[in-house]
Amino acid sequence: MNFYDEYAAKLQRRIQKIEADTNPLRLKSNKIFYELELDLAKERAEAWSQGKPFCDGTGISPALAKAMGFTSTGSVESAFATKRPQNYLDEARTLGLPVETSCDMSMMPFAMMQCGDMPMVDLNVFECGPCTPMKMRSIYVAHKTKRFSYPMDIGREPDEANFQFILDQIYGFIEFAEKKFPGVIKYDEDKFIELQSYDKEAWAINQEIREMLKHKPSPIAGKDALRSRVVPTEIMTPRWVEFMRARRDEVAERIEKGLAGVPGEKLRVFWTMTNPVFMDVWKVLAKWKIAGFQSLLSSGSFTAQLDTPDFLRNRKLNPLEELAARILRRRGMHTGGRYIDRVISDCREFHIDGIVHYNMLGCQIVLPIKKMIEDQAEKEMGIPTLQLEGKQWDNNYANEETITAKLDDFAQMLLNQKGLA
Amino acid sequence: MEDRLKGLIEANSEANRTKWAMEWKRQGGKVIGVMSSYVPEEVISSAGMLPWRITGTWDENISHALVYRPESISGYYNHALESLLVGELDFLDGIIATDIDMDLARLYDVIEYINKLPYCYITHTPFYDSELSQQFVANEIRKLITSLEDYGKIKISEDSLNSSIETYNKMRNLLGRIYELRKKEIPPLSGAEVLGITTGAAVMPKEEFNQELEALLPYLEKREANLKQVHPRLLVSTDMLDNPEYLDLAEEGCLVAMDDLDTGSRYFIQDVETTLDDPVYALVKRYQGRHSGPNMLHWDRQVEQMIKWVKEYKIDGILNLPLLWDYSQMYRMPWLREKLEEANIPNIYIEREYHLANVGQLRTRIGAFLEMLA
Repeated sequence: MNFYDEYAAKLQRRIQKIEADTNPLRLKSNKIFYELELDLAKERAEAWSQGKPFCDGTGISPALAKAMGFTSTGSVESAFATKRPQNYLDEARTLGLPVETSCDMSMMPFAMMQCGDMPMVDLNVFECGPCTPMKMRSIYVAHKTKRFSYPMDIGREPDEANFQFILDQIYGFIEFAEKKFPGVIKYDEDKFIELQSYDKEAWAINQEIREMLKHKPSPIAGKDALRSRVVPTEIMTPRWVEFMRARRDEVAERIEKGLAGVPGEKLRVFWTMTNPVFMDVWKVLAKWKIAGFQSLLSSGSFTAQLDTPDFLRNRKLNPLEELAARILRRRGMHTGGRYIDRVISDCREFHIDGIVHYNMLGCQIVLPIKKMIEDQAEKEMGIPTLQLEGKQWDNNYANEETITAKLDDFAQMLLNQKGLA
Repeated sequence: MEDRLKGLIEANSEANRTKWAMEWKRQGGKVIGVMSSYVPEEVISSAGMLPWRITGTWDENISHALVYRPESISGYYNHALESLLVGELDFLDGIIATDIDMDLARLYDVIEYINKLPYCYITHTPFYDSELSQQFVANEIRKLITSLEDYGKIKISEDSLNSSIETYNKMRNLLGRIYELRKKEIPPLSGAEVLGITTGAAVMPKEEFNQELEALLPYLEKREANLKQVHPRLLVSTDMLDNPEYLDLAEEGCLVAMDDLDTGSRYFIQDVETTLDDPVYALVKRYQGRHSGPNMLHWDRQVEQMIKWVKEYKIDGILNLPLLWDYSQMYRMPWLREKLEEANIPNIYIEREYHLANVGQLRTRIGAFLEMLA
């Protein structure tokens, strides 16, 4: 059974579970989310069986790739959802990749393709974000598979030169893809505008939900909050917008009714970057009545965005220029200082009581700034930081027991500090 | 002449490496720390400042650095940070880095944060070479020029930039001649000695270095290195290796006849073209287009160059010594080894620390590889 079929079966079970669940505390809108994921899994499986070309657009834009006629494999998002992570980590080991020391997600998608559980990408767009392992993975895939590859590079600063550089590469990507897949791949601007419109609408609703999370107690937290992530979503359909609306309305209703993501919420913790996937850290925190926040906030994961630079503010942009502007703004993680400022700003807005800085082995984005973030959190907000080591799927480095123990200690310390023990 | 040569070989030793920087400062000049071979040193030099490649402490103890950064990232950057924190680099007037490696970009963030240096600057280096990326890099270099002009309160003219390029090209040419001599059955220098010279070049004013090396060349053309072994002949490949003791260790049982090091061959390979009207663009073409390390996309060109060197230098095997936690080396390694095997080039990879460590283990593993080659 390939990944999409496995995942589809899992999603169907989850949908049935929600339908049967009468617990008013559970979010009903999750059902729409799983149905959307199910549609996407089926779409991918079908595209694969029909031999359609695959391109993971996360290196440039999922909407652009889709508007050109590509299907995406899901890449990292698929790797997060797999039931057989150890198989893929073992495959990556067999290939000689640095499994023990690097980020699991930088290796697992390719391993899934090598195993035949996901289609091999036909056009590999290099990851152009701040993550060296992801970049190196893309380069490795390019040379290992000899599939078509297109590099996207982005400068550091949100300035005009960088904007033009990005834009020129976007145009270059379109030209390249159309040339390599003649008659099959073609940029459809109307389609791109349509997909972008869903994305924009979903993002706007996302911001409304974000505001609502400031409410104490938070109406949703942890895994449910993560499910509202908008970027990088591969689901750009009217129904995605419908889900976001349903989610927003449900969150608003929960506030009205006084329902909390963590009933009896006492404290709030912000979790940086990524987290172990082999366990539910939010449940661990929740048992202490602590609500966990992560990627829904503006500093979360790769959504960390800068404000629109001045030179773009009053400029009328065509759709591809808008995309370039959006990529340009996604520079929040490239500078440690900017990222930390964003985290602190989110912590302030959301009345965070402590930070869990997940020092994921292999993550060059977070590991080298561990002290900076701890210092700033203490200085700016007087809140403590737990430096927590671990990986994502690989639990050999730090297992569930170890992580739980450290979270428990941190939780107790926080509660004691606030006199809430 | 042998003493003079020794002076050059030991220029980057712990005892000597700050000598020229201190003298430069005594004469009223500024010294700028450099942490990547993608930083165009000619620009710094044309501003009348001394570019000085930062070597991290070679001590095992980096307890100060570990407060800021964990052990599980690049040892070179951790050791460099340690040197900064304990005051070994207090003489620096600034630092220039690039973000070709996110770990270095994050080190830069920490250096800015601790606020010990009066000037910090970081450029962006695209990870692929094309006309488009070259245009971008040209702009980055122009920004760097402006920044140095502001800091130094000077104007960098096209003439001064061209003059600096000429000096650096001369250095490259002279080092190129040394490397040609390495093709001999018994070369004039061991691999360790050559690394001493190339890392020495990176901490000396280039005019002085050029003078010294030019005076030594006739002597070197006749000299035969004092080697324990002349066979097998190895090529050593890695990044961020500046401690010749690693090569001394290897050369207990072989000759390191050639290298693929950012501190060695890649430091000087390929001149800057002097026929182009725009010296900035000429710098771009050199720094982006030259034989590069695995952080850059062009692995196929990289392995082609290595295979070419294997033939030219009559190499029997390749010793890869990737620095622990250097992801660019680790991700390229399986592919590189596959390609070397296809080309029938015996090779091995052994991860290492930045400082000389695990000597026994290294000796054993390198020894086993050499035995296999014999």
